[in-house]
Amino acid sequence: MPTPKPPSRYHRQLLVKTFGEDGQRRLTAAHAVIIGCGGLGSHSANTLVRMGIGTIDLIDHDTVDLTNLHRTAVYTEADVGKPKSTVLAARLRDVNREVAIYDHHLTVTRDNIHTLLDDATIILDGTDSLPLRRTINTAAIDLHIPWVYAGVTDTCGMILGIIPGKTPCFHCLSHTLPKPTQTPLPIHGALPAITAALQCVEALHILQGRLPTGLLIYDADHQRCETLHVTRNPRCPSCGRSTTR
Amino acid sequence: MTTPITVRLYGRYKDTVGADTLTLTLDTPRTIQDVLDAFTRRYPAFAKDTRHMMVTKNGILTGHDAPVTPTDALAIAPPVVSGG
Repeated sequence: MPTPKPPSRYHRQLLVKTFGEDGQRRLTAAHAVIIGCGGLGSHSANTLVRMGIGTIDLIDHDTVDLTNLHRTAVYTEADVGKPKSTVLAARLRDVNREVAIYDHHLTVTRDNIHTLLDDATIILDGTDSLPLRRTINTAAIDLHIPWVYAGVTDTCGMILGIIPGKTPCFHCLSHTLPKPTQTPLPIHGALPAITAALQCVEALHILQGRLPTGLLIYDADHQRCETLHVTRNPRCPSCGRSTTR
Repeated sequence: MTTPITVRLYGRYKDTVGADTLTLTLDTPRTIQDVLDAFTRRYPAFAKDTRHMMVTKNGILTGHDAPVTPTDALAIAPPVVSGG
């Protein structure tokens, strides 16, 4: 009598009716690029690799700092001083060798972003820079790649899934960019994990062909998640133009 | 002549005001900026946010120079957050 085949590592999520075989197929076919591997990006990468994303690129110019450890789950004290993308990639290869994982210890700029996004099907934002998010936004519109903005400050997390040409872009949200008044920013230790989980769910919805939820505003202080339902700003300087393409 | 304008609030604005909505009374408001100015006059702690507040008018994200009428449904949310 043949030995029964062991269950797939994804068995439990395949049982989820709103995900299932189709969701898994789409995820396995997907190529995510995560820009920023700190509190947000490391959690999002961890989730997507465990769930079985097909390919993932991890990009960060920075090294692990002791002050990162309170809000991350992957890095350890022994990693302090090492490139975040390299350490993260090595850890996640041990988690799931079915996933193609590439790490890039570099700074994302307007000059290299198109190359870095080559073949991407979705971008996840893990940066800590609003100007860089504008750069991602512009490239995503140019290349027609959906992306998911996420940011955390103090006890507030925000998430917005963006499908260029269909849903509001990052520039629609904020035509002017606030400058941080405090350096470094305060960040609740539990907040990036929650925000990254919400970001991954948005990314999975987009990969499944669903529309983003809207602007999610999570408040850790009051344990509350609100959705600001938004439609595009027709006068948006960035995506307003893509309507005429 | 004054005009009442009701705005829906999100995030910490809601917490500080203590309600989901706030009615502001303005002298003939013409633009979103006039509404935001009235909001920050009443809650000066938010004045530093004014330039960057997210505003929807009838569900559509809009610039602060957009015209406004008393029948428009307005929502105000804090600026995008930046940390990672």
